[in-house]
Amino acid sequence: MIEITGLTKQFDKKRALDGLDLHVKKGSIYGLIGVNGSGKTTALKAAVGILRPDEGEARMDGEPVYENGAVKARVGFIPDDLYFFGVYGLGECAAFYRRLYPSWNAERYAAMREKLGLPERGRVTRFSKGMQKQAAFLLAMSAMPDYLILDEPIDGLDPLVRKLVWKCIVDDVASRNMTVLVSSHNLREMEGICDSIGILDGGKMLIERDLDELKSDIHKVQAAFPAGTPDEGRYNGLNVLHRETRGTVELLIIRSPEETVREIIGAKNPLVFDMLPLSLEEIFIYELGGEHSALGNIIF
Amino acid sequence: MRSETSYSKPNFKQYFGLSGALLRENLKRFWAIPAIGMICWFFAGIFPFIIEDYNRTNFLATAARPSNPFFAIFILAFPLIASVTTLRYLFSSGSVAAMHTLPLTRGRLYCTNYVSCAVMTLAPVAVTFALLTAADGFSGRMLAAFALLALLALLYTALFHIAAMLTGNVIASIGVAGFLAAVLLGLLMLSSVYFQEMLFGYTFTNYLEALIFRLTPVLHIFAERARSPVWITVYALAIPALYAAGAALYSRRSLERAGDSVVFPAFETVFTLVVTFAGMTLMSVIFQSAGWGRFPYNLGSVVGAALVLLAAQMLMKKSVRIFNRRTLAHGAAFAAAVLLFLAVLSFDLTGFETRVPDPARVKAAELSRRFTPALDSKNIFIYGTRQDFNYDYEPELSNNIIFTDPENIRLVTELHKGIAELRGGAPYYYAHNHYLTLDYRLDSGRLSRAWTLPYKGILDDANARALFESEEYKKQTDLRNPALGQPFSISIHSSANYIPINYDEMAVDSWSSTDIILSSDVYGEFLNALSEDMRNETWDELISCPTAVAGLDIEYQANVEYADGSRGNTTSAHANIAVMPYYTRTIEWLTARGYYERLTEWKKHIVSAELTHLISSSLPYSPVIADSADINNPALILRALDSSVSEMWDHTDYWQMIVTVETGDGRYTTGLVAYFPGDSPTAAALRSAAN
Repeated sequence: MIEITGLTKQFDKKRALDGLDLHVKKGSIYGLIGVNGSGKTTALKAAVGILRPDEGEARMDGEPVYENGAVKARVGFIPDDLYFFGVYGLGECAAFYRRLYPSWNAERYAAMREKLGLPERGRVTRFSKGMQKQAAFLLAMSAMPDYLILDEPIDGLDPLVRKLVWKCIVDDVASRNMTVLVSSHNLREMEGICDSIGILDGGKMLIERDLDELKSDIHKVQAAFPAGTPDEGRYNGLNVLHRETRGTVELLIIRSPEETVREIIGAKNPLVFDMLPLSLEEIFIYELGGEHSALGNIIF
Repeated sequence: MRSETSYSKPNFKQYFGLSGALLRENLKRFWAIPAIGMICWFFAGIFPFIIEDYNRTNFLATAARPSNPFFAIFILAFPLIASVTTLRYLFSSGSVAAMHTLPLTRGRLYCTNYVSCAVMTLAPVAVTFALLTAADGFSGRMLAAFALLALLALLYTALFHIAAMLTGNVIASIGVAGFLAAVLLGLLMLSSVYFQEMLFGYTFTNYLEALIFRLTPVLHIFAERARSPVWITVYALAIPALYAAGAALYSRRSLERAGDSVVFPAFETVFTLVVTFAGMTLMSVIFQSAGWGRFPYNLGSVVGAALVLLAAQMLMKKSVRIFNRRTLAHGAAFAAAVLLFLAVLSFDLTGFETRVPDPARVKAAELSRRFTPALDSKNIFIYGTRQDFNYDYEPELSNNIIFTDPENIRLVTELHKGIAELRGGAPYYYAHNHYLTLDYRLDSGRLSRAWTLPYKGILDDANARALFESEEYKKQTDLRNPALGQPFSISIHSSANYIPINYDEMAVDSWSSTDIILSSDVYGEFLNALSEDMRNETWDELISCPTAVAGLDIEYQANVEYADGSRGNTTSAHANIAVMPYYTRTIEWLTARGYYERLTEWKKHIVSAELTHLISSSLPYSPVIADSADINNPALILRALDSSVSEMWDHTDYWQMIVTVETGDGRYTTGLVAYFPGDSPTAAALRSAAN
């Protein structure tokens, strides 16, 4: 598993991470989401051992990652801003990785390269952005990592390749028990693949849950009450994240157990009472879009 | 409470460890560096060997010398290029992330990159050595020479790695590399600007200069023949020390600062202060060159410091918004330091100017002897050339006199005291001044001084008189001194140097017959006569400036051991001597052989002289021609020559006379430029006789 505890990182006067705790179970896919500047990339770079934390540490299987070559040899990282040696073709990059990573799988490399249709020769730096992303993915996956850390992995990829990439990842998780930590703004795809979700806000972990658990705890409710029903105390006992009225119908976002919601609202004899599932994107928006946040001012 | 982290316990292993994969990739990616290096070394080291009249001896004599500056350039340039290129990944966020994702610790990355640079830099050196050895056979001396070059390459590679660790982009890295390569030299030379300007007697010579040179290894190795084994050992030990320092910096480097000029905040302050000091000095020099005196000089320093401090901070912050409480505090602290620095120098708070050692503590005192034009132009110009070969340098061949006699040492300290009293009383600038150096060897260490003195600064000094008439002085200036070597050739020429008036005929020199080459069988008696005259020369004669009768060149040779171990005769010393009218024994010797008449033949052909009166309103402005005239009275011209001085007594008002002679084939200027003080009787007589 990947475990980050009390991680703090400051850039000049800005605190990018502030005592971050993060836990990724072995053999699971963990989605790290947050608004721009919330510290996702910093958290990932610290998790991989690129950045030296000011406080706290990142561990994989109980071993510290920072300055630990043995652990790093089991980690694949695809950053948002890719880098390849200037004059190298894909084949030369692969040869370099083969010498560095003991678990390098030449067959997988050959098979995946063929599937992705990437040329062996020709400078990688002259590939398109999407092809560079594929090349990075190919190299990382061919190293057979036990841990795969991805920062915006599908940004710039076409839908077919995206599907292929996710399939490959899911297959490795299933077959090799690979652990994945991924950061992305594409929440719909994250929703379809992640086992757990962590929402970062201001360098701190706002929520960290299994996705199913998270979704079962937050609900979109439509309700209408008979005329004359007092508004005061109507939702006492519920954690209402958002409330708006459309005609006679109220639209609510509530983070409380389903039974509690049904019990409290049902007791008020509503004329209309529907509980609808919330998408991850909606959860993200309502969790981070509170009245006091900058996002809230845009959303509401 | 700060939590414990896994990286907080650095250990020795962190600094070492080689990644074969990365080493191979580095050499593969940057193959062009050793390839270009090989081409450069080939043309500088091997190609000359191939061409005719080149041999190993010449190669060794010129390899690590200023005469072959290419090697010095290569030894600096290739480690710099290799270091910056290999460590360039640290300068952008994408590459730094990619490289640090690899399963390598920072220590392993650093070590591998250092070794990569070393291989790229040393490979051409090794190939050059191998090819030379193959062509000319193995030589221990050549191996030693190349080992020294390799040592320097490793040293500068380690230094330039530190530069890359401190900085976050290529330009800053190259700048800091240059700074580190010459930091001590640069800072001391900058400081020297102030010391020389403000401290009467300060000199940037001798042992201090030697120390600075040795702290700048490339200068030491390439500029000095007599390299110190101790310092070479120091350089060798400095390599692991610098390597460890660079590796330690890497382990503390904040990778997120890729792209910034400076990575470590503490270094920002150092950089700012050094740049500010340089700017302050530059501004001072500009104010000084305007000739506005000491106050503008100090003002220039402070204004320069303030402006450059602001600019340097803007550069560091990459913003013009630097005005805050912290900046002001820094500025105030620096201004206070500048004022203190200037006050210490201006008021000699350290007592530097008046410090004279106790004679009992002085083992020897070395005094320059060519401190007046009289001594410079007419008498004794000897220099040794043995240091060019595998020979110990002999200080008695230098132009300085070394006094070791206790009484003479006492006289030197008294002379020093007299000179120190001139401080503050001397004008700010002398158009015509003289440089005197004094170097004490004390019980512990040395003490050096150098003064720019007004012309008559010590001419009346009784201590100087006693010293320059002492047996020690006479012995060291004796032309029969065996340390000079054996006289190899002696030629005598007229003191007039003829140039045709008609410049179309410049190639014609009908007076070349005045050159007299003595045969070796008369060297002994001639040098006996000349040396006796010089031995009897009094202080008053020594500092007088009559027109010389003749000039002579003496070349000495000695049998020396060359760098390759062979032996041979080579020039060991040279002496240029002016034969003065009061050198009676020499003149008698020349007259007896008919040489004197030939040497003074030109006097019979004087036809005219061109007289110019030069006046300067005030120093340091150059004098302008106030009056000019031609004189056609040969007898008067001859009498005037006998009473002339060979240099300007007073730069603000003097006469200059250029003599013209006529022979059967045309008119010639003699090259004799005689000077007369503006108010001298001779000048008045000449002017009244002029057309």
